[in-house]
Amino acid sequence: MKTLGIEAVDFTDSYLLGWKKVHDSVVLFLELLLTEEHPQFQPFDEEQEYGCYKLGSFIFNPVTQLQGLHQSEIKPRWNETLKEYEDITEVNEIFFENEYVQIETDDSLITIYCPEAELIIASIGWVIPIDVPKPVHQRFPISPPQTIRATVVS
Amino acid sequence: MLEPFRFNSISGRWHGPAGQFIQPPTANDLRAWASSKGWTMTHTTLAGFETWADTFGIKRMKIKPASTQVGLGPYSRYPRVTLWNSNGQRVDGFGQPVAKKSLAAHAPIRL
Repeated sequence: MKTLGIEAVDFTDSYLLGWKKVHDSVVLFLELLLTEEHPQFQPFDEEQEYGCYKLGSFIFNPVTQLQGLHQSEIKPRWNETLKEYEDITEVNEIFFENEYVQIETDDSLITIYCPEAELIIASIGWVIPIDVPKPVHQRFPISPPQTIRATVVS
Repeated sequence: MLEPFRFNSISGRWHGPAGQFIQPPTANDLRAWASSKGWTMTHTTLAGFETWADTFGIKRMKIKPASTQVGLGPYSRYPRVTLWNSNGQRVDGFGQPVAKKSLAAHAPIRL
């Protein structure tokens, strides 16, 4: 087990593909831009691609308050022509504040009150039940923001 | 009307109106170009993201700052632009739909 910092993922150039609200949990489906710090970072074609992107889920549980996500579920949609999932919006910035995470997109401000969030990188597939462990995940204690750390279980 | 600059997803370069390679446009060049099309800036962030929409409210252009994060690709060190067509698809400067992780969807520009 090793500690992985938040610098392993560049949220600000990542994409929101969909979400699901289940009871007091919220799962955001994302296409995440990884940095070389991340164990699942892979070299990419620098002449054709901007960076190393991986599919992932950002899981918040338990959520005590939620703003900015009105529908209960939006499933990621596959674009066969471009061979990629269509994004709902781009993530501009993410803020880890005391007791909540705020995600600013082009279209909305999503605020999720939750004591801890978990980020799971899934290289294939999209059906990611929140109770199924994955080989790599990061835990983000939301408070205080200065001590955000992620844990990778290998 | 010929566009003053277009990013080509195949060459990975900016082209001028006659097809020649040119220097990447600046953010101000892009703002002026977007304004000439009747697009307006609809959203900005403290980090420098800038979104422009057409008269129908459809997102058409986004200027992005250079990333401050290390360990990304070489083009992350430059400011970039993303363009969309009126159907909401990301396109290169020639109207070709491009994938969101493609370099054409993060075309490098100058400050």
